[in-house]
Amino acid sequence: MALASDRIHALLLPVCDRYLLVPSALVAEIGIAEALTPVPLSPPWVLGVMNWRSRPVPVCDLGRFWGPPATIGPKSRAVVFYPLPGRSEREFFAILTNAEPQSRTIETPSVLLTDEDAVHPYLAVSLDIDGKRAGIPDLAGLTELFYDPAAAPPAR
Amino acid sequence: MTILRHYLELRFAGQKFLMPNGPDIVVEPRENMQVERAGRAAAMRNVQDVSWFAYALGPDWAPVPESGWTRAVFLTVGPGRPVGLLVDDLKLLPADSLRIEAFTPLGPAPVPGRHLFVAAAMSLSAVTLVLAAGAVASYLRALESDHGLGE
Repeated sequence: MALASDRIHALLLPVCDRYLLVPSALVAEIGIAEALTPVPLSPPWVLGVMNWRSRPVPVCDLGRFWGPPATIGPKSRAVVFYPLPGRSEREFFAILTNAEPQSRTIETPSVLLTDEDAVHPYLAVSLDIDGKRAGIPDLAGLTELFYDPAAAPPAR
Repeated sequence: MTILRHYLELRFAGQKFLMPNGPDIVVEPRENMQVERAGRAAAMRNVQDVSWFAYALGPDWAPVPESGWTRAVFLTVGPGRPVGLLVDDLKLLPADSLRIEAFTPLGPAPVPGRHLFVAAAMSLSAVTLVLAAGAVASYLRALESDHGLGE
């Protein structure tokens, strides 16, 4: 089945044993994953917080939801995302990748939907992109995962 | 409006945190404390026949029986008796020497409705998390109730 969309500029983020396909417009910067400060009492998928342009940005290991915990190595990258819809303009977050993300222009004929992992809680859809197993993150699901609705938002 | 003039820099379990200093914080040196385990508390101070419990925490913030603590930082904020955090070292830092940015931790809050960290101090490359005194007090009081000492 072909994905009904036009051309989009996207990034393929190598996470665990697959790729996350995200529109480039969601990504603020690709940085080196280093010097993470632990955040005690966080869930295991929160690796810590990094200093990105003098902002505290939490870094998470989404690959943990479909594979073993990530290890940070010299090729690892922290892909910094703009805040999710409905969140404060300073709530950037980062996803750890195994290596440098790949830039792609995605066109309809090159993308096939697959049934694999279609019900994964944090993937909206699974894809085959040139033989690569990929998934599009479910932003609404990530918002629920990331932000405790009962916790008072910090002062702006 | 209260102008925040200082932060306390707290070191324990090999980690460093900041906390806004204010009138709801009471610091006691180790010599003023009874080093005596009571449930999960590592020390206590008796004030007018009321025991103020204090907790030594490990890197994962689980209570530990002993550490190299030198002071107890008691938090009087919120309902219930004051509750203390045992720290290895303590410094007072002027607020205007720090660059503080708001921070929202990811995931569920460790105490109902409240995250322990509400901001972070940014230096050239490091991040030091800023504790929310009220949330920390709630967390420590929950440790108290866990071992049946209650309020």
